[in-house]
Parts: sequence; C-alpha cells; structure tokens
Amino acid sequence: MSEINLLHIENLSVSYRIYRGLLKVLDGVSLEVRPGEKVALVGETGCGKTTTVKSILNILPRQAIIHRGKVFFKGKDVLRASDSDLNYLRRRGVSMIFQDPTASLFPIFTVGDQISTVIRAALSEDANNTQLKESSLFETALKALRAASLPDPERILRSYPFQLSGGMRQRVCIAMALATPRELLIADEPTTNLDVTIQDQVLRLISNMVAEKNISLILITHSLGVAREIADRIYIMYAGSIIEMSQTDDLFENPLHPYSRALLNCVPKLTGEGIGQGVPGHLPDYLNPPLGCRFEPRCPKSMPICKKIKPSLKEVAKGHFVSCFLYDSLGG
Amino acid sequence: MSEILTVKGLKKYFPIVSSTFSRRQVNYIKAVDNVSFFLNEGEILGLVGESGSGKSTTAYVIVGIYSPTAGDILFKGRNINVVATKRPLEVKKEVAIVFQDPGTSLNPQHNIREILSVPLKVHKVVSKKHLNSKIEELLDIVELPKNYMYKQPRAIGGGERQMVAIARALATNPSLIVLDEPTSALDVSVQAKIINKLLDIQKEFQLSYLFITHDLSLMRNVATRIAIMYLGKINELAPAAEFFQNPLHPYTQMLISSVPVVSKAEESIKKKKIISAGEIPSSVNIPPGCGFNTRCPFKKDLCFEVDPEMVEVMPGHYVRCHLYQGMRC
Repeated sequence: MSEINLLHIENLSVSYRIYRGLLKVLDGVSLEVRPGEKVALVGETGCGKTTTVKSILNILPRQAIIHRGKVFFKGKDVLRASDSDLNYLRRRGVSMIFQDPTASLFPIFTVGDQISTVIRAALSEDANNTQLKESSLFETALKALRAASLPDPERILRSYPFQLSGGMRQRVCIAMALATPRELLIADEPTTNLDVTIQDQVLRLISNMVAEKNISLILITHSLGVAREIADRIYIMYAGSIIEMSQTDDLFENPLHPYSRALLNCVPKLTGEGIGQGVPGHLPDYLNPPLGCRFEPRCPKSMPICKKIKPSLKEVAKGHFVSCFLYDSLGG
Repeated sequence: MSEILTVKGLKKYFPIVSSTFSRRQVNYIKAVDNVSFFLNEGEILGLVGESGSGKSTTAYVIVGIYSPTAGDILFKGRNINVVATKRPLEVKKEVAIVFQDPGTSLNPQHNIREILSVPLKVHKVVSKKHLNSKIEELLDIVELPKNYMYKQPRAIGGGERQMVAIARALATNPSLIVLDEPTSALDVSVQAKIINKLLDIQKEFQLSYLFITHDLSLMRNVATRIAIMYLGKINELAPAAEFFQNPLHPYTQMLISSVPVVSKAEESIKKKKIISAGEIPSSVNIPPGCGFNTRCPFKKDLCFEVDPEMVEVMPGHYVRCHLYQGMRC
C-alpha cells in the first residue's frame, strides 16, 4: 500500500445472503483515492457502486458477507476497526451525500436541528473542543448553509425539509456533509432526482466546495456526462468489478473495454449523430455469475479464454488500466 | 404534409380549495396556460421541460385523462377537447400513450397476455379466435419472445416491461402515440434499445409521436421539432437542428449549457454559456410578466410587466421573449 493514498480498497469481495443463496455482488474491487483528488465511479443500475462505497463507512447491511479484501482509510483497516475508530471515521473522516435528499433528511426535525446534531457529533470527537456552546453551533450551521449558497439561511434553519424544494434539500444535505472539516466526501448519485439546470448548479457547488476545502471526492453516478464534468479520474464498473480506470480525458478520447465503448456509444449526444444500438443481453445473475469475465455473455469480441478466466486490471497505457484479454499483449 | 394534431390555446387549471369540506376555491395551479402547437403526420415533436413545467399535464389533456379548462385539441380536424370517456371510440383507438414508469403502468396481477388483450377486446381489433396470434404479432414487433405471454410484469426486466407498454400502445393501430418520458427510469444501454425500437416502429407504421422528456440531448437525436415548456407555457419551438445551432430564448440557452456532455465536439455546441441560476417558481404564484423573469440574465423592466407574445422570428422558429419582439419575419 502506498503512503500517499487517503483511501485504498484492496480486492474487496462482498456477497449478500438471501433465501435462494448467495448474491456474489462485488468481485475483487480495488480502488484508491489520493488527497485532494476527485474520483468518479460510473456504472449502471445494480453493478455494485453503492455496495462499494457503503463498505468505506462500514455501513453494509447485515446480510452482507465480506469474503476478502481490505478497506484502508489513512492506513487503518475500516472493516476491522474498533468502535471508537469507526466513530472518528464517520464523524471527522468521511461524510456522505445520498441520492434522495427527501429520504435522507428526517421529516419531523428542522434543518437547524439536523445540522447541529452533525456538528455536535463531529465536535465531540475533537478533544480540544469539549466546551461547546449553543451560540457557536448556530453560527457554524449558518456558515455551512451560506457556503452551500442557500438564500436566506436563517429561515432555512427553522424550516422543515418538506418546506424546501428538491434542489434546496440537496444543498442542505451538502451543507450538512461539509459543515465540519472532513477529508473525504462520498456523493452517491447526488443529482439523479434533480432537473438539469439544478443538477448543473449542484455539481458546480460540490466541485467548488471540494476544491476550496481541499478534500477528496468520490462521485457515484450512472451518467458519463456528469462524471466528465467533475472527476479527475474515472472508474467504470460492471457487474461488481472495475473494468476500466483512467484519467477523465483519456477515457473519453480512447475508451478501451468493449463495455465502456458500448456505454459511451449509447449516450445521446448534442451533435445529433444518432444513438448506438445499446448493449444486448442482461446483467448476469449474481447467484451464478459467469466463471470468467462477467461481461463475456454480452461482449461482441468474446474469445474462448474469456469464458474460463477472469481478466485482471492491467495498465495498458500510462495511467490507463483495463481488465480485458483483448489488451493482454499490451499489458506491462 | 397535413397536421394530425393541432392544439390551440390549451389551458388546464387545477383549483386549490380552502378545505376539503367548504370546497371554496382559493386559487388555481396554472399547469398548462395557453399552449398552442401542431404536429404533422409522421413527425416526432419533442416537448421538453423541467419538472413542474406542465409537459405531462399537456400530454394527459391530449389523451383525455384530464378535461381541458379551455382551448381546442383538433385531431385530424375533429375537436376532442373533452375527457376520454366522452370521446368517440374511433378517436380513442387512434391516440395511445406510453407512461414513464412501466413498473406502475402495467397491472401487476395480470400476465402479459391479459395486459395486451384489453385494448384488443375493447376496440374489437381482432376476433377472439385470432387473439393469441395478434398478441404474438405484437410481442414480435417489440422483439420479445412468445413465451413472455404468460409471464407477469414483475418477472421481466424494466426495459422489457417498457417494451410491453409500447406493444400495448400499438395494439389498436393508432396514428398518434404520446410518449411520456418512456426511458427516463431506465439505464442508457436499455434506453438506446427502446429508442431505436421506437424509431423503427415510427418509420414502419408511419406514426406521429408527441415525445415528452426532460432530456435535451436525447431529443437532438430523436425529434423533428422541439418545443421548450416553462411554467405551463411554450417558450421556444424550432426544428431540431436549428434549435441547437441557434437557440434564442435565454431559458433554452441556459438549458443547453447545463447539459453534461461526453465529447469535445458537443462542448462547441454549448458555446453560449449561460450559468444556471435560480429555480422554477411554483405554478401557484407565477410572477407577473414573463414567467422566466426570476432567473433571466437579460431581464428588463418590461419583462416584469408584460408577458411576451409568441413570435415567429424565422420560418418555423417561434420564440416567446421580449428580446425578439421586433424580429417578426
């Protein structure tokens, strides 16, 4: 493990226990985030994006079984951490914005109540700041709302979530996530429920706040366009594996994996060149996933070896990793 | 080319009552407010707008789920500005709709055969003897295997469910299909399949589509003409290529510059960068004057007093903004 990584996920495999057996969802996911870096994790519904980031906060549901793999945050293994280390991680280290701001805000408490809970929890981890005053709490909450460019923050502190619009609720969630100093922000599809003009505003806000505070970001999204707007580096996920990773520009100019190419081809473009044919077939059944490459049943360039062996993520050009046998001869 | 659908001065106001018991009307939600457009035969008209813009209400009034407050809906020259139950059967047969979420628009207790046989029986499309072969034919059009007939909606994938909803819309051989965000609940790889299928069907059966969506880049690839709705009104309407080359309304420019894109070629289309600001006001308290005056970077005093008129600035390119009132062609 290199010293410079803030977060390092190493070969993580997670299954969910259900009545019919084991859903083998994550299959050897490795991911790293450096300090101050903006990383996007892109994939379609059901590919394991959310499972991956839930493991970072160790908030996987009870049915989840971690077969192997390690999650290091600042060198500490999160999956085997003590309760006090976990508290520190969740209160000072990592914060998360969820997809649906309506569901992630408590409907019967005001925004002010909810933000001050977060701030209190964070300050309780801070040994020097045990003498917490209610007045400074109010000021910190106001400052957080102002930083998220919410108009009239005093009124919003007294409002209940249902009194705010969807875009404002998501801004409140961002304000809450960044009200206290953090080192990593995880945004799980933060703009999926928002209109395109509001999406633009929220993405710009997240991007600016992350840059200003010099913290790292993991953005989870299903939209390649959103990832391109924000991220320095992109991981593409398919059926529980990382299939390609590269710098943003490199990925869009020269996508290598057949799935990345097909996905990019499907995205409707403003230039109006028509829409690609889509990807034939379905996601594999997680109860009995294919032995070899999980994309093999849908791959237009499938070879005999793909059925037997799972390709590993290899660097084929500088900083461009892909897990596909097509590029095996190029692998270093 | 003749007009299959003409909408003139369409209004749909929902009353707000003071309490459940007194039913005293306090105010209105002006969901659709004086909307006019036409749809040519064999054309795809994209109706684009954010949530709360009234695009779905427009669709529902056209298919007869709501009755309009005012205005005319001419379908092949016949006025059908009433709810569906009051429309003649032969008109209902010709106008079909595909809803956004196939998870809720298909009856979960029925299998696919029962779902598809309802419109066939109601409109007496085929005799009972030929029912099964017609259903097989419909499944064949949307490329679903025949054995899906006896499956229930929950047993098939989201994309396949939407295919069933499309097959149901095709069952009565309609000439106009209203598509209300048919792919916004689906992944892009599935969306691509559905859109390509819809375009094939449109060409094969010479259909007209009214395509409701919030996705501008999808419309660039699908629509013949595009209309932008905002707070119940159409702000701009133009042929698709013209719409992106020469967007005139500040709201259109803001929308186009907000679209996330995946290539450098697309970025050159977003050249007129208008930074998105503000939110859509509630349709109960629509500001006086132009509805966009709360967010517009070019607002003048006039915009707060007078609502601009729709002006044809170039042949087929209509815009409703004070900036272009003198540019009548």
